Amino acid sequence: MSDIVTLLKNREEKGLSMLYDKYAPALLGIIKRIVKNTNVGEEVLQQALLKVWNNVDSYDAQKGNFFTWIASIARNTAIDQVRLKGYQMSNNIETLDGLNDADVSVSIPTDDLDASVLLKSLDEKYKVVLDLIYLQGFTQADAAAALNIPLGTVKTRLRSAIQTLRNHLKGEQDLFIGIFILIIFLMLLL
Amino acid sequence: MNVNEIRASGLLELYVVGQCSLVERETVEEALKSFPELKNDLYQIGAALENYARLNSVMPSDGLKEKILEEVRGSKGTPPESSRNVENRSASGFQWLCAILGLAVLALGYLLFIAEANRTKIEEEFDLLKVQCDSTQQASDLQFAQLNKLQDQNNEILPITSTDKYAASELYLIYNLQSQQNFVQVKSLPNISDQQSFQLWSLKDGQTPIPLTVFQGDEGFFIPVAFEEDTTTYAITIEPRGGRETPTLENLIGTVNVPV
Repeated sequence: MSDIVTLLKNREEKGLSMLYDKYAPALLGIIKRIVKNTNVGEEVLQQALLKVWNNVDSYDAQKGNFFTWIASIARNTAIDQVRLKGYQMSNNIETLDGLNDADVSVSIPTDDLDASVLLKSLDEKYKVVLDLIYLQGFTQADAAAALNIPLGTVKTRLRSAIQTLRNHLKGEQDLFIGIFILIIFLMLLL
Repeated sequence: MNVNEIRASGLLELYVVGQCSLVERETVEEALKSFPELKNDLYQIGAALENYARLNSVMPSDGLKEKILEEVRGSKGTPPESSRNVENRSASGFQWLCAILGLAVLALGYLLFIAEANRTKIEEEFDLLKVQCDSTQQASDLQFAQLNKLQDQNNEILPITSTDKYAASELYLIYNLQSQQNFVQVKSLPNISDQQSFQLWSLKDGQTPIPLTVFQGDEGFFIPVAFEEDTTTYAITIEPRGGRETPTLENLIGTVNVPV
């Protein structure tokens, strides 16, 4: 990732190309949750990536991951697009019932993580809050209103959802480290 | 708040998803300064959300990437496609030019190699001819010197009287008492084997023969003969190759008396 950031800061086209290859599907997944339209989503993705290209110097690695930063740009660009077209966020609440709805062609990179295990481990009520806030850019208050639950509950569920994701990621990392240590041990034995 | 309170507050998660209020944001950033280990928490939260976002990936349509890259090129002042085609053609032309230049360099290198090889060969031939020329010059000088000596007015040409055994031989002694340089002029000599040589002798009254010049008979028509004071007779014999200290009388070819 640091290579991508360095290339982008050096204004090298290769950096944007690598950025696209690595992050465009995930960013489009976020954007499409908000704009609900593939063509519009790709226009927004284009705008978002150009914003990244033009503002990469303002990225501060001390304040968070690169993906967190570009996801924020993508989400805000999509929200701006929706506002520009006169959409009301509340009008899209009905799509919450089907997070894998037919108009969103989800492509899960199963080589990176065990998606099914992760999704099963994530309680539905947490997942809805996470999707609203993280993927669709709802504020906590909007999410609370949309789900008709207290604001404190939104905060708690959001934190629980993220904690579950962290635990899953840590488990993957521990498994990877374990396999690595096992391989080294077997090599030493041989 | 201490580290654990920050972690338990949920502020870190809100900070990562951009849902913090201004006050909450300042709280988190102050905590990050006080507790740098919280950066690792931020990283883990970000990584976890990145994974979750990947679960919800949507593949963009083909061509979008190139469209975005084109826009960036345009913003950087990159020439339009048509110009880039021209550039590509120029690049292609440049590659052709490079290829032609490369071939030209190779051809020139080959020609230089051939020229160098020829020059070396010619130099070797020149050196050989020079050696031959020098050798010929030396021989010529020697012959010229001999000719001068043979033309000396003080020379006396004395026929060597052959023995019956070698009657077919025809030899002359060119004798010069003043210059003390003698020659044997060879007109006809008997055949000898590789293991034999011709040898000249100086004969003085009451003394044993003194060995002089040894030759094979192929040195030329004039064989220099060492001058020996008070010689009364010169004799020539066939001896083992390299000569002897005493003559083999049965192989005596001939003798010649010289004026005292």
